[in-house]
Amino acid sequence: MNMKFVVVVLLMLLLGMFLGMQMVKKNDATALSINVAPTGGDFVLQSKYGEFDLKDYRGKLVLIYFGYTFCPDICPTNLSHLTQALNELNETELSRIQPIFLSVDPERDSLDHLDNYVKYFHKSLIGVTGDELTIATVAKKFGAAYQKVTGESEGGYLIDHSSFTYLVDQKGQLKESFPHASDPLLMVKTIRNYLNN
Amino acid sequence: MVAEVNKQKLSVVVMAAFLIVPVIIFAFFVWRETTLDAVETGVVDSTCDVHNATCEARFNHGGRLLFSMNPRPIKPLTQLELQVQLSNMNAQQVLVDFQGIGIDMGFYRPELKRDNDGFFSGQASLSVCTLDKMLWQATVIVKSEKGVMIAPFRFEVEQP
Repeated sequence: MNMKFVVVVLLMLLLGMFLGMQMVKKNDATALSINVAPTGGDFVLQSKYGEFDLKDYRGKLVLIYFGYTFCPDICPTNLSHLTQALNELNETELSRIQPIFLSVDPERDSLDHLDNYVKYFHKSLIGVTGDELTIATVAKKFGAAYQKVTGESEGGYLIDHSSFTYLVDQKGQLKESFPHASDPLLMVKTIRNYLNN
Repeated sequence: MVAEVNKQKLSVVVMAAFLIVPVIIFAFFVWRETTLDAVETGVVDSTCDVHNATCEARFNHGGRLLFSMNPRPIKPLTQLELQVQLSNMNAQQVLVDFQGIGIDMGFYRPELKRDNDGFFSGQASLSVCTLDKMLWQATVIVKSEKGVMIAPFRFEVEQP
């Protein structure tokens, strides 16, 4: 076969791949100007009861809240609203839901401490955390944000963080994000919609 | 002999096309499905303050967008009623993207529902951070068959 011809074909291939990559890259660049919606995704973290793998919860609705136990007011408010919503559900409905409190403060939130904290709000809540890199990756997947702020607080530092409760459907897809202090009844209505579909 | 070589060349070209075309088609669909490429950013009246007024953005083709948030002044951790009114603009979907300026407050983009022709409404609630005052940008995103038009409104919120 003509060598020149092979080179041309290879160049065409490279050009095609280059064009394709440029188009995908363009998407990333756009994401900086108008954020592209996060799509969620699987993750593996640790809980007091062992490894927490989101994949193991297919078939259930998973509610995820990013926070930390030293959080002075925002997290307790959100968890209270979530608890109110969970309390509206019957046992059958509850058995089809897994609420999670994902700590972005692994430095202070030991698995035992995390478990004690979440059980204060609701028996079905599981506290999960992990190493900093994994938490950052998970947060990015869900569009959650947090950053440590050094200041005068009892625990030494605070963490500024977004305050949404994410709803992951039975197929593991991120479907909803409830803003801070959402009306518990509205959450119940949304949860039931997903349970019934 | 020449015919044989030409036939070989042709089959290589066809093979190459089979490899290149799917790459381009795949990239195009990824791009089309996920991108929010703003066709136009509206001109926002910089003197208008969403804390005490309905603010306006104008677009090149004569389109006009009015945006308001209530109750005023805007406070965090309060349910805000969002309203968007469009004139000379068609919209398939209207969303409001909230971003913390200088501090990442996560992804938050509630979709507004269509009330009447050109009228859209929805709710939002802003989170708090440890700063005394925080600058936010509410970007109204109008998706239409012509593309995406955006109107960014900045405002400062005092923390409770």
